[in-house]
Amino acid sequence: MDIRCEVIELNEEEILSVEYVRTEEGLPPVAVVEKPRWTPVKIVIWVVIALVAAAGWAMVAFVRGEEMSASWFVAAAVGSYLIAFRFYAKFIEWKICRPDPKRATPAELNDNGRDFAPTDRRVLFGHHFAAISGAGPLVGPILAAQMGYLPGTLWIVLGVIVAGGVQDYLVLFFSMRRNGRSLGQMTRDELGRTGGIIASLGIILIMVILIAVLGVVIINALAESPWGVFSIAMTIPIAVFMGIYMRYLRPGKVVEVSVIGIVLLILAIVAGGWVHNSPVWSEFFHLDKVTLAWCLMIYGFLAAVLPVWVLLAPRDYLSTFMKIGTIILLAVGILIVNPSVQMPAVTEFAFNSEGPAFAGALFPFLFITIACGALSGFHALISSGTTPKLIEKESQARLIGYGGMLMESFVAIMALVAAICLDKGLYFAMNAAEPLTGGTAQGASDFINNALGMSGVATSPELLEQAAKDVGEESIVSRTGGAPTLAMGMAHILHNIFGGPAWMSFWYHFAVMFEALFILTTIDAGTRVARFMLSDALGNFSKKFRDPSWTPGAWLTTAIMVGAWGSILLMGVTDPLGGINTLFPLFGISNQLLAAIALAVIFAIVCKMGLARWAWIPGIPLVWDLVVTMAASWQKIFSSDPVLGYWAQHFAYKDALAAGETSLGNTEGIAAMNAVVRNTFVQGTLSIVFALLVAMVVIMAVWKSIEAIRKGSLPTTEEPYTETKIFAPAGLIARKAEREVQAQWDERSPHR
Amino acid sequence: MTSASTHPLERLVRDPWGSLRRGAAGLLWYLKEVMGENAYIHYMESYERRHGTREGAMGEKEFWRDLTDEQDSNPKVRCC
Repeated sequence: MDIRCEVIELNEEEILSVEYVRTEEGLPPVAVVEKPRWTPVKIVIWVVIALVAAAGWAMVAFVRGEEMSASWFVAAAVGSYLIAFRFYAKFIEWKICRPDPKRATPAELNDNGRDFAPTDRRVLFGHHFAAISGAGPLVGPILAAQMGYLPGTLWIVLGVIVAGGVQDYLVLFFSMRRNGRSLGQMTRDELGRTGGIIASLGIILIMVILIAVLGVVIINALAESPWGVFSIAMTIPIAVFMGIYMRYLRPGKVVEVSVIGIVLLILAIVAGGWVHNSPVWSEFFHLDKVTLAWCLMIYGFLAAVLPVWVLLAPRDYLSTFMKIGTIILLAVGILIVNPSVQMPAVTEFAFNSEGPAFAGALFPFLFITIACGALSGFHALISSGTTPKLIEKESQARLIGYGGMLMESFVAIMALVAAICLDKGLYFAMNAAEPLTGGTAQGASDFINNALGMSGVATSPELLEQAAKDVGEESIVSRTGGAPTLAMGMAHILHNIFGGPAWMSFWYHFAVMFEALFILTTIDAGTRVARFMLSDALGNFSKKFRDPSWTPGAWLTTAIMVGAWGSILLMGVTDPLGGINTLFPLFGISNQLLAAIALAVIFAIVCKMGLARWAWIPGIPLVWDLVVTMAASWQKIFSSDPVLGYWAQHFAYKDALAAGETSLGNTEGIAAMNAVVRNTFVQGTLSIVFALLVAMVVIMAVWKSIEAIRKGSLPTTEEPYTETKIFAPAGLIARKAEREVQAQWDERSPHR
Repeated sequence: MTSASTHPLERLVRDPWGSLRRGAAGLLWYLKEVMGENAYIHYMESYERRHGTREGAMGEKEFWRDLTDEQDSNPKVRCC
């Protein structure tokens, strides 16, 4: 049928002009297109939002030396997000995406009630947000707080507006126009087979690094903490119980089983306190980092080979539930308690590369350390493949892609606030690596009072010991990796509302628990996904690997993937130089390099569409991201400063060993020095491989783009146009005309 | 059923308790949707759209089994 009747009705009573779009006679309209007109009320609202944002920024950027409250950060961030969403994202929508209200999405065309299914936009926003946000936005900003709050806040907010939101939105939109194809497939389609293979290889390698570094983060929070180890260990039987409950007792009762799970989880946290106080049990759960790393590897292997219903699915429910809960809790905590900021706007570590939490100067390392929350390449894997198969209408991609990323950015801002409201001495005692503090309260206090290299920070062993006691830990010195600091920050904020000082240890372990839960979810899902990527790749050589039910293949590919991230994890937790400060840059670099691949592919698509005029929209973040990641990779590879350069360190230790020395800097003993030589070799090699892979993809993308610009445009691999036969509101809030149309559709099908 | 012609704010003023009840119901609906509890309902709706009938669709228990078993070979990425 070729009925394309478009009825335009102008509603006189409305302030707006309303266009009803129909694709089939006899059906109600499939979309309502409204031409927004500026009314005085609207103008006033946006002026107020702009003023709130401006006031927030003025306080954050210029007010010094007085007590500043945390809510200014919320004002600056949320005001900026609203303006960016309404104006910049809309601009991108008009100039590049041009969503077609008559075009059917893959969800409608391939509806199978499963991975393809038209999903309510608000629900999909929640799903997408739960999938993209985890521990990342909670960790990076905490480490970056060593440079003061201003650089981190600026990058998180500006980064998400110009880079992160743009990447997520455009990848989502282009994947949606391509039947929800994955980033790897899109690269192959748009840049050719070689480009696709290189990108897929890069994606697997980057996933390995991400999992390993997240593992280091969680082990740093759990090592020598019987309370933490016990409560995290309990999540495994709890998840298995939930799995059995869902499979055999009450299938489909997701909320019910999650509530039971959360109650058990809280019991596990409380019981952790008893374990902590019992000499026998606390000895039993007192595990060192290497043991924990092996436990994590065994867990990762089992989670990837066991059926999903046993562990993965219930843990995912638990994780989603906790994600929603804790983020609301943190937001409410910050707004009600409104803590005052302790950290200065800019510290000495913004101008040198001597910060204790991570090495490197503000440029480029701030932009590497804060990846999730500002720009995260990993999101491209979810914005392509998963979410685009569920969107009802093309116009909703802005809300889900751009809006979802803004939400993650807000989580990052809250994490930053939690860190900068902590006592400075406490912050640096927790985040300085063990070789600097010696791992004792006395050592940390000496380091901070005499050798930190930042003025205005002082502490004492008594203060640090009391802080550890308050949260039920033996020591909080050198608890690097960000997670314990966030937990401490949350405990400081939340105990003011719930429970008082006696509850600080509960809140601390509650926060450690949910971070561990997020990270374990990423690790087990990531291992499983990586395993399938590997068997797909091996399937090119032996067809048997393509069969997911072939057990030896599944075990072998899983073992390879776990071995890959496990070896880096072991390297990180035994690193004589501290682990997180050498590995975290690699995490950030690999995540941002993945973003470079995604942005390069988007850039090429925009050029191929004949929209080269607007290619600067993905072009600016692409260039910025390349400058940052390549500069960081360059320094990590070529810097002659051993603190920064992996190879400089490698050769410094090698030379010292050759000269017969048994110690260098804070590293004592030949075994430790050999470990440094080995670790820096691996880290240095990975830096080179990543940078080369990404450079190749970018060169191919630029090549294609130039060809496209020369010819005006090139054919892309967009799916053919098909008309839609369903209705859904275009944005977050259904407008009046849309509600009326919805009522017409509701009358037709009683089940909606 | 909520009438589409009145503005939500207007309804709030006229009937605050009703609005509160609807708000709570809405929150529960949202929680269930985001957690995935309504997956079976959506599957049935989709089945009916595709086949014009609900006959031949999976039973509830069978559906939930199938849902997780299918994820065995199609895992979803979770980001950092």
